[in-house]
Amino acid sequence: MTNAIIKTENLEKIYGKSTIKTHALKGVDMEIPKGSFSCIIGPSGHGKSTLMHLLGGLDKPTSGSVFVDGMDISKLSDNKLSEIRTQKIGFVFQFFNLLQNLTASENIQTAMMFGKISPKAQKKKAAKLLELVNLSDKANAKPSELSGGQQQRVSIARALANDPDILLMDEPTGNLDSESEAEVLKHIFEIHKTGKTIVIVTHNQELARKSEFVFEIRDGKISDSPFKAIQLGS
Amino acid sequence: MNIFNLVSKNLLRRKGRFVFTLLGITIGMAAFVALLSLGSSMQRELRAQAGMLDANLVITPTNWCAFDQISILTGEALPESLHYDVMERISSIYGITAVPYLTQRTAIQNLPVMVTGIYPNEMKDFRRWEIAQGVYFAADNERAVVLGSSIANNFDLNLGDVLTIRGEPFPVIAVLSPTGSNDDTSVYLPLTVVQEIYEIGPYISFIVARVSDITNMDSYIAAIVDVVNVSVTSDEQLLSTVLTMLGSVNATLQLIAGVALISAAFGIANTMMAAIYERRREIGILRAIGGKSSAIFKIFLLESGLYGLLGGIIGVVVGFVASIVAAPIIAQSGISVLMKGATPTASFDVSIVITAILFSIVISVVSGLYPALKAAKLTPVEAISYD
Repeated sequence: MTNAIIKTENLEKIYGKSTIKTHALKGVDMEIPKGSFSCIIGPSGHGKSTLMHLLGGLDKPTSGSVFVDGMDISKLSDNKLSEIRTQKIGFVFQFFNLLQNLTASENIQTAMMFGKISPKAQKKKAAKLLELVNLSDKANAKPSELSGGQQQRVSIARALANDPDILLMDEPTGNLDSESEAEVLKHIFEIHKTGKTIVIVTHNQELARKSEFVFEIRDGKISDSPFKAIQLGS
Repeated sequence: MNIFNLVSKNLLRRKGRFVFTLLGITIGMAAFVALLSLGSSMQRELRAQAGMLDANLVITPTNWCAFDQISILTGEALPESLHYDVMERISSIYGITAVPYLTQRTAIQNLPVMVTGIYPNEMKDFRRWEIAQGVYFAADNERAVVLGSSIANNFDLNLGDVLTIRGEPFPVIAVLSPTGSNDDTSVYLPLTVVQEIYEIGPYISFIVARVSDITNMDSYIAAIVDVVNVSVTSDEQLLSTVLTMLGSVNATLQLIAGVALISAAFGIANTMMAAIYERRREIGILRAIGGKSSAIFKIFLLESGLYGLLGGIIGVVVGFVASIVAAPIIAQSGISVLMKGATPTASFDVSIVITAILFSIVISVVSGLYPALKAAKLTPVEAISYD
């Protein structure tokens, strides 16, 4: 795969020091093509979220490398990693992770603040992003005033705030009822059509089937051949 | 959205905690400002009184302590302890003009008032008194009183009224024009009359003197101590002694306010530390969406700095109000002879305002430093994984 936007080489992650160590990732090699829609699946506790944290530069590997857009981010300083997260990667979490004391619009604007976008431009863009996820009427609502599905859509809009190439999502529908799930997935597919690379950690086999690439993680390893994604879709 | 918006929304999220933390720093600053303001107004007042004493030398018994000397400036009644003979000897030294003071207490309408025994004519010349009403003492042993202007005003006394001092009636024959000094707050009688009615004998309290050549002060002092065994202090020395004492009292009080401030600082540190644990996930979110550790540091430091700024501003206002309210109470309280004559009027001093607010910000920022560092050091994953 030559157009990989994300690539890992022999990625290892060990948690804990001294005697009690957890080997969360054991030599993961994977490539995710630019503009693709990928899922990472696998049983709980087998390293899916750890892998996603490493791919997004939220954590550093014990050994091995993560390349984002050709740049090895595993050796970058904390500050540089923050810049990469601002410019290239948007995160969506299972529990939405919105700032509770801010409105929907302010949550999106906060991400743009770190992208050094002027407050005036922030407001304008936040409104557009809320429109994209059909929440224009909820711009001034606090998270506590929104349903789970609505919160997750705000969180997706926030992930798009700085127009990143990659969206990393950790079980984005894991906490939603089926109706909200369908609504959120609809938006995710629409966003993918705009050319964004989407990587979703999920238990949802249905979603995995619809994706272009599926990476299954078991015991901290990509099961099957390391360089070949498991194509579950028909 | 900018960092300042984010910080102010954070602060107001938990209003109760915000108010209590703010109160800590506000009370500390208010105490600090009130004491600073009272201290500086008293210093100013004492300097003014010293200037109005208009003397070059103050002659007191050798056994007087600095505390007694302060009373000369503040207008307290002092014990009669110099023999009158001393006065005559000093007066005979060439180039020295001296006047004696014999200070005692009486009461008008049940309130304590100072009675000063003087040489009528010499004192009038020495202090450059002007007569507002009536006719001044005609003789050195006239059995009548002359009132300082404040006494006449405060007790609503007029010419012809009779004051009873030590059981003897004395008619008011004159009222002095206001001088702005302690002279306004005393009742004056000829020295010999005071000595007689208070059964003091040939004694006086202290002597103030003016010299004809102030460049030669040391030789005058030498000449005085040569003829009599007294303590001679120049007005400058007296003022500096008083200010030193006042300074150490102020320093002690400010130290106490300082302790209050330090505990307020720990209050801020405590609040910020608690905030880190409560907002761990939030810190993780901010990091995940691109916040650098320096931004987290800035957010937390700004939060504690804002406590300082707000606490400083409110503290300054409360402190000045408190000093305005407290000044007259302190001036009347028996425990504070120091402040007595020097009616401390709290005044708005820009340098105190700026110093206090800056100090408050610095204290808050310093106390927020460790929590802010702790917050900045959290890795995004450990923060975001926190439940």
